[in-house]
Amino acid sequence: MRITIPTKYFIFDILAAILILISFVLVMFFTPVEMTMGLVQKIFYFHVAHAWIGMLSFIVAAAASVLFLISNNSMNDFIAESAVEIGLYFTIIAVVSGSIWAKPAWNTWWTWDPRLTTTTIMAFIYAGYQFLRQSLDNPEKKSRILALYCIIGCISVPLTFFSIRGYRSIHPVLIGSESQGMNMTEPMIATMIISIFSFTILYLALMHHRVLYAKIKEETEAEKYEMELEDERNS
Amino acid sequence: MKKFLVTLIALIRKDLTIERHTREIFLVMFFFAVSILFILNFVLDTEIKTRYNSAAGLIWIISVISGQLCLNQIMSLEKENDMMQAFLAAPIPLTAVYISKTITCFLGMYGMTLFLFPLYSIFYNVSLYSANLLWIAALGCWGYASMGVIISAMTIQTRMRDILMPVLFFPVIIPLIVTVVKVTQTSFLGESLSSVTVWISQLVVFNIIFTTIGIISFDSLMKD
Amino acid sequence: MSNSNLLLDSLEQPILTAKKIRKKFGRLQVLRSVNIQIRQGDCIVLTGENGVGKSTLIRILSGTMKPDDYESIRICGEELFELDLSKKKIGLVSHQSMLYSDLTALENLQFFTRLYGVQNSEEKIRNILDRFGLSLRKNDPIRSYSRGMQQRISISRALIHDPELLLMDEPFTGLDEKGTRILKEIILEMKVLKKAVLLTTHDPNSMSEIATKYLNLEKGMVTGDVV
Repeated sequence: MRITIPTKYFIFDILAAILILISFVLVMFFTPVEMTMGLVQKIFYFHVAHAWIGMLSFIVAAAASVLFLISNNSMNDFIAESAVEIGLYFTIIAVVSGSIWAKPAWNTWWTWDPRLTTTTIMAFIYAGYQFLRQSLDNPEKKSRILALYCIIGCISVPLTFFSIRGYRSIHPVLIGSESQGMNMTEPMIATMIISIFSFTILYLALMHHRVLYAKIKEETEAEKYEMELEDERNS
Repeated sequence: MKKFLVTLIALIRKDLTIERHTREIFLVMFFFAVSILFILNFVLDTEIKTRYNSAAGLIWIISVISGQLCLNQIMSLEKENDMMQAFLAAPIPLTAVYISKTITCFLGMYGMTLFLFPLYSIFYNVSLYSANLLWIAALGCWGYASMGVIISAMTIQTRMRDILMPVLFFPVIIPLIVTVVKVTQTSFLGESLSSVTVWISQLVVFNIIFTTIGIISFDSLMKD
Repeated sequence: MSNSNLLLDSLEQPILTAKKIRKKFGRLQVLRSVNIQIRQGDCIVLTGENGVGKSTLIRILSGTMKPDDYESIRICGEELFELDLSKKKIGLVSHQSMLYSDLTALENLQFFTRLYGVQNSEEKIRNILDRFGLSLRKNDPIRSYSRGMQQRISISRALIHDPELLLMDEPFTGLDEKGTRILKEIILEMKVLKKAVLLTTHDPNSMSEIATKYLNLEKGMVTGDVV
């Protein structure tokens, strides 16, 4: 089978590459060095972008799962599958980059801050979802069970956040509180927004490819299944 | 409604009869819990204060881990000989099956947890008696069972079965455990529970959410 | 004889009417458009190659599997998938025994009488166990039974609530000569009582004396003729 990737996919790819290059340059040369944390603070622009994609992906997956249960359209299942897989990688990167940042900033690799903890638990749920997908056989029920688990996970994550928010946090609050927040200058905010935007484009590009892959995989599996059945009948 | 109750009682009675014959579920779970309690002795600080402060967390961790055995066993009963198909063919709502499973699992968990409190007190020489524990433990166990039955209904249909259960179950049960540990700890320390009303209402809300999810989703998990 | 049969024919009410059942597994269309009608006193033998969808059809008619699409599946006039209670009129024997292997035969049957809300259950259980010659071992767990005996209990389980329609997937598997005879007697009795039976078997010829109709499932469609 010959697979052709639609041209519009490459537009996203190229756009994402250019944008990420731009935000990289901006982060390296345009933003000022933060006073207390020093150079390592620059990881923040990517850390925030990755954490954002992780969250976004989780919501996309849950929304796609809900739609799947309503419409029974397998396209929604492909989207959920892709969103979870990509989201898992982004979340892991966010957690690790956060950890690298935390070491010089707070002098600790790990802190039990609600956001960090919740994000990590979110990664566990993503991982559980992947395991579940691997080990379900029945193609009919597979998607339904996965969609339900995704929704349960999505309900559980905010609950986790609320139940552990009582613990004292040292994580900088970016939006809302001024006294606690990191003092961000305008170039810093602008760079952060550009960085988040470019990673969102990258996410879209990756999603397109992953969904296409999921679709092709499904088709080949179905064909294989049919061929096996045919063989069985002939023998 | 009356018919629903009759079905529910029949289902629970059946589970308990099986347990009476085999003693595979509750007894095994109970001994597993006690053996963890013993192992803890070798890792815990001997200081009474540490043992006192960590009691709530430790007891619930033991419950959570051994409760898993109960969940796996209770659901795989229905997988053997395709009993789920018999339920689908019977003139009963699947919700009754879900609630009966949750109740059976709750009974096992609750019994074990209530037993763990005095055992911990005896083994570690700390006093952990409080009438409030009766309902706190009930709320914790019900939430655990109601979500556990759903996740285990998912995992029994996979190839990996029991191995997958904790991986899927523990991340989603974290909010409940955090809350119940907090409330239990307050009760242990002899503080008035009015200081944790928020946590208590959280616990109640989690129970409601988990049970609702269960009732809604069990049907489509089991139907072909 | 033939006259009375003719008379009966006109009086017979349909027990099950199913129209345009479709079922897909992945991309494989197992049932394309299945129409089937079962009347009082029918004993229908469903034939077809392995993997053609006989078990799937039985599962759908018993209400344990939902078809992708159907016009109607009615049991005694009631829509099967809309009213749970209509399932009371169906008895199902499938490949799996659908019995708890840790419970005794008696406890299993008691459990099912409760699920189906059967009246005078004790008496009915006693009768059916006697009939299948299982009374002596009724207090042994199913685990200790042989395959054939499990099959006998499994059939008793399907009959315990006096169904109007008995659906059986390969019911003769594992049954010995005596068990086969008992089952055939029961089928004949059901025919006299104006109930109906639909079964699949790997040996359709053995059913020639009691079958009223042979249906063949092929390429997702049912074709057949009256014997």
